[in-house]
Amino acid sequence: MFVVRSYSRGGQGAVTASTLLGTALLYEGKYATSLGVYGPVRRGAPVTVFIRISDKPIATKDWPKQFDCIIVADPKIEKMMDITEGFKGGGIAVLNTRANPEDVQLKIKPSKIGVVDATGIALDVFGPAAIPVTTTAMLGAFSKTTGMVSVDSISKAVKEMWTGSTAEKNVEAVRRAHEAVKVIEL
Amino acid sequence: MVLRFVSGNEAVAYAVKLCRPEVISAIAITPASAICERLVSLIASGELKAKFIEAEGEHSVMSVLQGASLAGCRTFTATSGNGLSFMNDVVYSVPNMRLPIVMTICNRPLQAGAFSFRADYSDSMSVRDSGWIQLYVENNQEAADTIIQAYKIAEDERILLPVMMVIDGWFLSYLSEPVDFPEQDKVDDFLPPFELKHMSFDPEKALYTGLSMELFLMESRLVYNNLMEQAKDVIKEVGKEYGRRFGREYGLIDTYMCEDAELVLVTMGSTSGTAKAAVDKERARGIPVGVVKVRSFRPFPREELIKLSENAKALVTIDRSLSYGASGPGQLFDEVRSALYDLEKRPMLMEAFAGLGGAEVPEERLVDLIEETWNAYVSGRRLNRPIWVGFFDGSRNVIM
Amino acid sequence: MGENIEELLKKIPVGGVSTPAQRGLPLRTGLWRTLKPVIDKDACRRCGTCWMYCPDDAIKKTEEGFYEVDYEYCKGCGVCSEECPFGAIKMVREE
Repeated sequence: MFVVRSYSRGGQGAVTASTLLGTALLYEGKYATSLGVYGPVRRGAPVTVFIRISDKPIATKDWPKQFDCIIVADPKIEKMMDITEGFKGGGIAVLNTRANPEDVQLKIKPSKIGVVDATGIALDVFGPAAIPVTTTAMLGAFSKTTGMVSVDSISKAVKEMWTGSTAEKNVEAVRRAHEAVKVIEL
Repeated sequence: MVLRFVSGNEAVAYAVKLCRPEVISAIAITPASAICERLVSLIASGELKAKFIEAEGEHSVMSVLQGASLAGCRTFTATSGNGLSFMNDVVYSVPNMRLPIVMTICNRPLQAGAFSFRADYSDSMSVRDSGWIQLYVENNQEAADTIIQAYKIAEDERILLPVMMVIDGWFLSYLSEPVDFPEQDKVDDFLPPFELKHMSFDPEKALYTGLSMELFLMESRLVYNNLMEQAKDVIKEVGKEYGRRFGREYGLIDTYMCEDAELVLVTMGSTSGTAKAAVDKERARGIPVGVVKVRSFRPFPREELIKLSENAKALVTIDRSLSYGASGPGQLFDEVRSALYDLEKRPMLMEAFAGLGGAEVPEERLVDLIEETWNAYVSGRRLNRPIWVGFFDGSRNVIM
Repeated sequence: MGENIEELLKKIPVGGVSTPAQRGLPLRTGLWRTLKPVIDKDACRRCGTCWMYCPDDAIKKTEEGFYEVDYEYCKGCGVCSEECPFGAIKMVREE
């Protein structure tokens, strides 16, 4: 079982992105569960999404406490909360930041870090916004960094969920982040 | 067979769509809102040919459905927590009139205050006496399958009682996982169009409903209880037929590793799934433990639990609600204890609470629960106080 | 962990009452920001439109009568920038 915790803010599309991820995994014959956990529903508030990925159906429905991978879709979230809570040493971190991967300091040392300026991609692809939708870009980065799912499956899932320019823009965000993400192994 | 990655709410909505409801009315309430929002969206796009009737409150919602059902329409709504309370009055009159309305309850606490919106069974438990059949689901696949079976059970002429399909709010209704949806033509074959025979809107044959209250006060109550008892057979028949047609069979209960289990956890809802994972861990350590999942809470599967007790030596019920001041005080515990009381040889019966007020049920705490109750059983010292699973933010169990 | 459960249960507030009443202030919503408003003092005419429109009361009046953004709470919604009649407020990327 591969367990992921995604950190983002309300309005960035984390729950939708996790549905895209689950759909993409289903195309590849894998099982997943995803659950968004947050307080009162509002834009800007912190949102956590728990994702479990497995080759077999997943019976347990509790909230995972230990994570093989963290996805941080907003650069300021680490100032609000401890993004390494439950993060297993030697895991994989996929981060939205303009910093270089070598300069990333995490309390728990991962084995692999992928960094991408998802905010920049989102502002460029979707236009200026108070809360840019960074999470589809983060899926592209997740795909490249972890290898758990292909960027083609994610794009297919995007086109199943939306049509027209929404689909096109999201595919662009996914693919640009997939290209741009810088991955280093520690 | 269409496999999709969907939330519990979406699974319910698409399953309802397959059943071709004719009238839907609803009020949005977390964590059930997305069900009827999706249905309304399908009506607007023309994919679902149904009428959506707006109402200003859940009391009116159920009144609308009552009227529509009397007129012979297949109906649906979904609600949670206080939304269910608000329709309480009408909820009781629906089974009285023998109307096969199907409703989804996404559990939400009544006992934990206005801003608790994750699963706790105080809402569905609050109407357990009403005459609605109650079927609890373990995951989103069951949610979809149970909706389709619910209409078949409700509309069965031997029964004509409304069915409440109960799904854990947030933990399942917001959780997404793969669900296999049957094809429309296969569902049409399983579920013929609905026709209500005991009521008519023909002005030449004017009929009045609800009058017989003063005529058969005692006798009617016996009739309705008998209907509930008979519903057990119908639920099992429909579950078997569903298995033949769609590959997944259902009953009043579901057992996991109970054939050689000495200790059995008695669960409902999503806790059943987490319990199965905990059981796998403890089985690897050699503990003969299993899970029996109570799917039908009303009618309660008394006979199945009695049969289970022929082999199981210790049972631990896990309640997700309690009746303050009751003997249990958990409602599931009280049902199980009452069902087993007349047995000559009773298993050791212990009680646990998990997920009250919308708290999350950690798998590790269920593992601890198995350890605690197994130790009690082998030592012969029954835990005669309830085990509160996951006190202090899920960090430990407390026996008190 | 030998703490007394009874004592801990006693600490649960009676009737679900929560204190203190003013619970919003400790939540530094400035952390929710992606774009931040920057006021160009030279272009600013001190009309007060931004201060009036801010939905979060995150623009404060200074002693000289200019306006400054309280970045502890400003969520970067962009309404001030949109409403400023003189184009004196730009939304810029923060980090």
